[in-house]
Amino acid sequence: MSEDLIERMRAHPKYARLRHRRSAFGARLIFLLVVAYLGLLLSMAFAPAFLANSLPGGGTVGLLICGSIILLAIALPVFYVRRANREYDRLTRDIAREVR
Amino acid sequence: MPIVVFCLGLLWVSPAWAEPGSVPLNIPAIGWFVASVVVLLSVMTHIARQSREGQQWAGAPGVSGFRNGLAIAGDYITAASMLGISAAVHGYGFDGLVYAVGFLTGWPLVLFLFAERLRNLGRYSFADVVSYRFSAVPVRALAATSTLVVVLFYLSAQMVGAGQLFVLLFNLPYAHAQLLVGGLLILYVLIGGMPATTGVQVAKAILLLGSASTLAFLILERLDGSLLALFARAEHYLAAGVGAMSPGGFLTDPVSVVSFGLALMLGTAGLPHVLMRFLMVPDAKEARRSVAWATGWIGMFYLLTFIIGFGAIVLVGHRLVFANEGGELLGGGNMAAVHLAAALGGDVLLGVFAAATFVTILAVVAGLTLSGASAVAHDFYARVICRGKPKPRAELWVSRGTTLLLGIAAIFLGVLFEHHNIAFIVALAFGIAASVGFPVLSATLLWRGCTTRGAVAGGCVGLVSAVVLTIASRAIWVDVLGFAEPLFPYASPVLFTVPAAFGVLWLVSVTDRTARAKEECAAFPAQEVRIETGLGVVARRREAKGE
Repeated sequence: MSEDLIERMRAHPKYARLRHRRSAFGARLIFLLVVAYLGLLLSMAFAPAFLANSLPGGGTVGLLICGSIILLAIALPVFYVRRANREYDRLTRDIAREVR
Repeated sequence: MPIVVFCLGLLWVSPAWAEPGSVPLNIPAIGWFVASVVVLLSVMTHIARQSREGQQWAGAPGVSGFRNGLAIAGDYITAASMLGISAAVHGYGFDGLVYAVGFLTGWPLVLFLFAERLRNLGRYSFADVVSYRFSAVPVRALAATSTLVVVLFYLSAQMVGAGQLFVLLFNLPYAHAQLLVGGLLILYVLIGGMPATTGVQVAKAILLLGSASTLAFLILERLDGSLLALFARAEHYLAAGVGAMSPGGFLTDPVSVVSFGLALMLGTAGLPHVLMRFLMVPDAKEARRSVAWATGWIGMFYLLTFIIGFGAIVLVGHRLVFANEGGELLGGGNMAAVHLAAALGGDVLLGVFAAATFVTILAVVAGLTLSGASAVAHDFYARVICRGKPKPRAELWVSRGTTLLLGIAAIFLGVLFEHHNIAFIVALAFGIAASVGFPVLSATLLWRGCTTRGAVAGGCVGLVSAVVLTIASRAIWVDVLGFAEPLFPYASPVLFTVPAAFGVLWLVSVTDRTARAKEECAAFPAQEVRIETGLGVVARRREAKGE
């Protein structure tokens, strides 16, 4: 690909949209995951008694949090793939077609 | 056939070296073990022969996202995870669960940051990705070194697991078991007995998921199907002083907790054999799908380890059938899940489960030594030392030699790490991968201002500091080398080494005013278009020059 073609791609508005959307969405999901995980870690570090609290049915708060983070870690990629397959591939195809 | 060699080795072992006067050999279990190993190895070898790719690196027709997801899961969850995590939960209660959660979170991170971009870029080893924009020689040297170190730790974890398995089954003293099983594993790999193809990884995933599900199902059945009853009884059973449900088992201070947790999350992106998985899918869309599927399978596996771990607390505990008077489990601390299999299904399940574990360890050892050997033979020898023009058969011999040396080193470390939890050893490997792979990969792909010097400097700082601090920490300095107090007081160096690596990377990059550096920054837009869209082939002048 020539330098010229590269520049034209980068200048295309859909390119900017693709980049922005991908980064922003990715960042939001990473943020969610990191906050949840760090929350667990910091609770383990500074508030272990909180995690040891028993839940009415059985088990503890800590156990529930761990299980929830695992479910969150499984669910987030599903959201990402849905959105990405819908939007990003469409944008990429458009860019390929429109920049010649 | 390799299997014959292997089984002869096994049969020779049993009467020869049993410690006199010790617990008598469990012949039925050994019988089931050997039989299962033969069956499983035959199946895996057959699958490996069927897989079309072998060592192809380009032009593979493309594996679907679903299948590759299963392969990634198989590649990632090692028997060490199953044995190590359940043993950690058995020994420490709640803290053991951190492994499961932490190891899993690395995958969404890889998806959101790297998966599509790597697939679009079309480069699949750490060295290849970084040398897309940067000068190949120093980068490949760094990549080869860090791959070797990570692989070595990861390998020794597998060796410890296999060694303790043999101690349990054959009543050998640990060092003998280690030598024997390590020797058998490396020999098997050297004669090419287990190529690490996608098919084999899928088989491994099914084997591990199947074993874990079986154990979990039997545990719940034993306890009348109530998960909550399991938790309640675990709480009741765990040794006094360490609550089954409260933190503080082995991560005893805040810095250790956060540092260790971060190592688990960030290390995934830096693992050498992980990136290679993206080779197999045809495009970015399938790359995303495969990571999503992989995360699902891996997550399911870890949820099962919750059950297995607590099941081990309740059904194995420290009963004399499974442990000696000192309270240590027969075979070693990592054998909790194996004893659980015995508790749930007698000799049959013990033998079969041990065989499944052993065969998956074999597959992992094969895959890891492949990564390590190719890092040295391909990245280092062929590209760095021979400047891209290796003598025809030399690369193969370097690869074989590396496999042998790696094996010997891993066996040696396996003997040293006898009393460590194998998930913990893997976490050490993750800590090193997190300190090199994650900073360098992120900066290379996402930051325009990164230069060769910056990437290499940052990577080196990450690698050296991670290795030094890991050796200086309690796990090695005190528990292995025998000093009284650790030099580095925390469980993992990641909280310090990752910022240090990023910091040095940034500093060296921004102060780099050479013409070369300007070229590299100028090459960023072309790389960016490529990673965002996967379109086009950028003129790679450097590759034409033979770097």
